[in-house]
Amino acid sequence: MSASTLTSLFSPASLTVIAACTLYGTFIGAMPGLTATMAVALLVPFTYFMDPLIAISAIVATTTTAIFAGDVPGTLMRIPGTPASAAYVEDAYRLSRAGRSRSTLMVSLFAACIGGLVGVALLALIAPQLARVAVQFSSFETFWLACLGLSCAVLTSNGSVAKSFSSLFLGLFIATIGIDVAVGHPRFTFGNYELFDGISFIPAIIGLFALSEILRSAQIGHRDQPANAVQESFSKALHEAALVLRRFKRNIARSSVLGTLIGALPGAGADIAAWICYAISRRFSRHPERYGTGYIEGVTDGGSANNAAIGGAWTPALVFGIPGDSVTAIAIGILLLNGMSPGPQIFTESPELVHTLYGAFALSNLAMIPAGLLVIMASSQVVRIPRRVLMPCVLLFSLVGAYAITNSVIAIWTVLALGALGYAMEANGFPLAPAILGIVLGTIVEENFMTSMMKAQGDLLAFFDRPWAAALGTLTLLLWALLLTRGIYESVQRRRYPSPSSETETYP
Amino acid sequence: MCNDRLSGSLLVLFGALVLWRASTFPSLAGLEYGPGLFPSIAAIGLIVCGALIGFGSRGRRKAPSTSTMPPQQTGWRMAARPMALLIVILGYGLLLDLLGFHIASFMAVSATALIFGMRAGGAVLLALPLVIGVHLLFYSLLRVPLPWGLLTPMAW
Repeated sequence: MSASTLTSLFSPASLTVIAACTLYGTFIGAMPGLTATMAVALLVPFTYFMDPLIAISAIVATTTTAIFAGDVPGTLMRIPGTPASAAYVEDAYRLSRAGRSRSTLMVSLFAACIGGLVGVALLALIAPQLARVAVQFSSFETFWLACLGLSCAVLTSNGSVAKSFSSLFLGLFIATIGIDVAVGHPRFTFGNYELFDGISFIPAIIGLFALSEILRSAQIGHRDQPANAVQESFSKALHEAALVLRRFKRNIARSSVLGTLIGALPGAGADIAAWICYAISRRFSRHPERYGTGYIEGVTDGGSANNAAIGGAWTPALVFGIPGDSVTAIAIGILLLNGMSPGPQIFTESPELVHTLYGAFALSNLAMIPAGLLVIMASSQVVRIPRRVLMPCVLLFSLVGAYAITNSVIAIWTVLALGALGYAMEANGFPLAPAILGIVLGTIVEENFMTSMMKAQGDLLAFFDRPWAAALGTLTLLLWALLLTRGIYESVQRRRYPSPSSETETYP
Repeated sequence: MCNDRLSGSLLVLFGALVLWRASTFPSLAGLEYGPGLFPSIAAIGLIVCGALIGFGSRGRRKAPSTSTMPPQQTGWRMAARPMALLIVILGYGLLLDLLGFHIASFMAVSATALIFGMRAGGAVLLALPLVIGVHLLFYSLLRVPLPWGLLTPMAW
């Protein structure tokens, strides 16, 4: 890291922004229903006024802390603050009911910090190497990469294959709304010119994740789970957390590395990383039967994996210009607004951006510790905010936040439609993550497909002509074959054992 | 709550509608592919998946729930609340430009608070400072042009 990067990173403006975003991320993440993606989405208007380097630091600091803080309401109220905390929410909540909320949260705080640091270290190691390969990529390779991302979204989701695919296809359909990229034909707009640009991504995210959460909470009613009155003392909790971290240090190391790699897959983000690492942890644990009953081991794995994945997710974003998750999708948008196009050339053209990104990651993971300890100590107060006060606030912030992106009522309609859709999907066991990735990657897939088709003049075999394209294409096709087999296997299993077998998780 | 037959049928129906619409799109000069290709892929995918979900197996089954919520209570009141919320948002969207951000938001927040079981006084006490806070954050600080509607004469 060069000296100029260090001076710009430690400039008062940059430090202030990182500190502010750390607190902001902690607060938003700790509010149930407000996700890390939403925190970033609501930050976008602010970043217009910032230097691009500082804007990137702001995004990094916000996501890092929001993903950790998502554990707070998950532990105390059984409502994960962000989807990334959902994997181990049951364990964390039961630990909290047993009076161990503070130590549980401290474990997840330190696991998150370690995971985040490992994630950025791996990002700094891997990304430049990948970029060297990626400079040669054209629309063919990008098409396959995006397809691979979509397939990973189905592979890693924890619903049935048919339902995950349905969710993906719904997302792909939503992505096709608007003017098409090839000939400029308006699709599914029904004459509404505001739909010509397509469905705005941020209102869509807010609808799918925030509104559906509010609707679900409304259905369940106002049975606020009271926070547990018995709290450990600060020092006792810290001591307990240190013991747990020492005991499960191998879990943390494994999940940090694995989480980064999963996050680096285009299409798989922090939530998927947490789910997979939790599942792997259970498989290799000495006490798999205790998972889900209030056992700390899964928390160390999930907690480190989701923060590691944030660093990993920047790999495809920086190297290929393909977002690794919805947060980096927004970040790419901000970079483009500032006249920087992510892609392999960014490593040679603006290395200071890449270095600042690394520095911001390291810094915000460290700044997260004091902020996190603060929120852990205050968490019982945070939880006392009853849902009937919280939910109207979340609703208004969702609606106004969505409105702020488009400055028109179309955002409200998007939130309403996708919120209802997301609610109906979740209630019927359809996972939401593939839909989001369908929306983000659908445009990329289509654009690159159409460009490639025009280049190749309609010859489909051209997609396998170039060496990297052939390799990526074969990998994608193999993955599809695997998914197909799994889908058939699943339906055969269900035919044979009608009800109970589909209850078990279907991890790869 | 979880009805695979219904959701599968809906997906098939929706896919068929999309496929029908997509078939009317023009194709790219000299190519068999055009704007209709990707919607058609999505539509066919939806039809196949919908058929698998709705009619794939005879035995009744429960889907693995991805929800992290506690088991749901039954009763029409429980189903009515999400509906009421959707109506509130619908009204918000319809009335936002007419009434302006402040009045519409005040009404939406109060209504939501009532739906979640707050008393009328509490709802007003929550809505008033919240609307002012959001105004300061989004309008004054972020310069989002929130509509003033009826209050336009008072706008600053």
